[in-house]
Amino acid sequence: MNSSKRLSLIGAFLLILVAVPLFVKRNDILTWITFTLIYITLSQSWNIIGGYCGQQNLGHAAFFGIGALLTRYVWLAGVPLPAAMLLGALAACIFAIIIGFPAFRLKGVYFIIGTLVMAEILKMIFDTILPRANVLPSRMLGAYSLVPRYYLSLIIAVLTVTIVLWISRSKLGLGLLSIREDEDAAEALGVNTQKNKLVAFMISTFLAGLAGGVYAYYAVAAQPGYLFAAVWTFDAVIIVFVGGMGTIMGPIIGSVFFVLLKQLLSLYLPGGMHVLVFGILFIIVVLFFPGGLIGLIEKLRRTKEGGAAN
Amino acid sequence: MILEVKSLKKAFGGIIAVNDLDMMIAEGEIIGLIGPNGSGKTTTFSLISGYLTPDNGRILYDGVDITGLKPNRICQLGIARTFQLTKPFTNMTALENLMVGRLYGGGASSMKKAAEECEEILDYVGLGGKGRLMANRLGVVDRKRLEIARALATKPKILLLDEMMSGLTPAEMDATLELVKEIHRSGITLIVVEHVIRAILQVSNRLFVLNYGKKIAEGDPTEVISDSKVVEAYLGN
Repeated sequence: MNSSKRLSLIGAFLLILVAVPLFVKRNDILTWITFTLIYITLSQSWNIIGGYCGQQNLGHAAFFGIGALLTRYVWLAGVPLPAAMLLGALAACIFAIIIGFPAFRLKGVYFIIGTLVMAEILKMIFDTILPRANVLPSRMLGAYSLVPRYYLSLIIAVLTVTIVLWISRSKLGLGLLSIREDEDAAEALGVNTQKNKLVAFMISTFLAGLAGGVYAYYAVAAQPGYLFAAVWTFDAVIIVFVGGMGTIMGPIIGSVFFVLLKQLLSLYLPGGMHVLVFGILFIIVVLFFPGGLIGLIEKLRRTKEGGAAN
Repeated sequence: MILEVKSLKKAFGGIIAVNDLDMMIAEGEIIGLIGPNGSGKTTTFSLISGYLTPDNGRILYDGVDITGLKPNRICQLGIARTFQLTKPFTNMTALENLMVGRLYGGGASSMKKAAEECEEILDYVGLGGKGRLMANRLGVVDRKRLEIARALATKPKILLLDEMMSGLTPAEMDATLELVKEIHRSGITLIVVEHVIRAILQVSNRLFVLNYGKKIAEGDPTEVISDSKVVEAYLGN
């Protein structure tokens, strides 16, 4: 596919997404798409640090949570939503800088466990100090509409994908990939691995904070501790792995697939069973299809081309 | 002197890997660094390139003290290294492998410029036309070439080559030797660690011999190699 054809395809797709609320009046469908878009932002943000840079941060929920919580309280205190979201995302990013210096001294499994525990501690803290759900005040409840939530999630998802696309074609992107592939060799070629990891972490957590901000605006009632729950991390990780690590399309396809499957499974299976299915799916992908859905599509296309050539 | 190593020392626990090592290297030399297994050759490379910090001693590059700098900084200053076990970025293309070096170590101004210049380097080392291949699709010889090409992409003044000949057939060895001579002719100072003595005698103008981390001989390759201490270190007495 040449680039102008690809561009018009993307344009058409975006137009359809913009037009959806004009035609679709069913709240459940709007909710699904809104969630898919939030997941695209969240998984794409994890993709930067986990997929491109190879640092398996399992504390991603912390940054989603900080963004969500701060946005929620500041917005409900009367600050305009965009400013509140910016504040939430910046707070997530600043927390990442504080965490990043010690965390990147840890390698491999220690980094993974360290970040996971960090997020769990934050969850416990907020479960304790803010045990009660934060519900929208009644004047806002009366005027609640899904449509602005839908558009906000769309804007932030497009912004996020654009940023990741830019990274993947930049010097920074090559540097991140080289760190994922071999840190020693990257250093030998002049890559300041500590600095590049930190930059990736800052962009990743800023976007996770924005995803949190969208959720804060969307949720009618939000339990502060739940905003930090490990499920936000693992949903993002599963989406990136199943879709395709370190690719642009992977997390997008992964998010669509994830939300669709989750809806289908919750229709036919008893509550919570979808988690089991995703767990098994995750293991299968990691073991047999390390490239995820994107890798599988690429492979099929290549075999088809190879077959045609013969 | 482009590189001065002064009373360098590094110990791992009770084992002294490099002991009181002095080296003076002038611009344009090809230095051979030889010695039996475990004599401290690779440790010396790791000290010069910043992967290890010496317990004692100093390393001066062009008169500037670089002791204790990070590897990426030393690379940017102009000292590149290759690894004994090649470390290609396997899930990136050969060209991208080089571009990392050009952009971060060689100070290229743009992606486009880096790509063009790296294509030339690929041609130069004999990987022309393979730039779009994933590095994991390259064979042993090509991986060695990629390792050298990547180091060259950082625009080094000094290149440290660690065991480039291991695992190569005699014919491949000759081709690699030609490449090493070619790189030297382009004005890069080379320090070569090598097990294959025949290879090192062919290219180097001066030899350093290490044993148990100590320098036991230094000088003209053919003279050094017949030195009784060197023969003893390799064969025992």
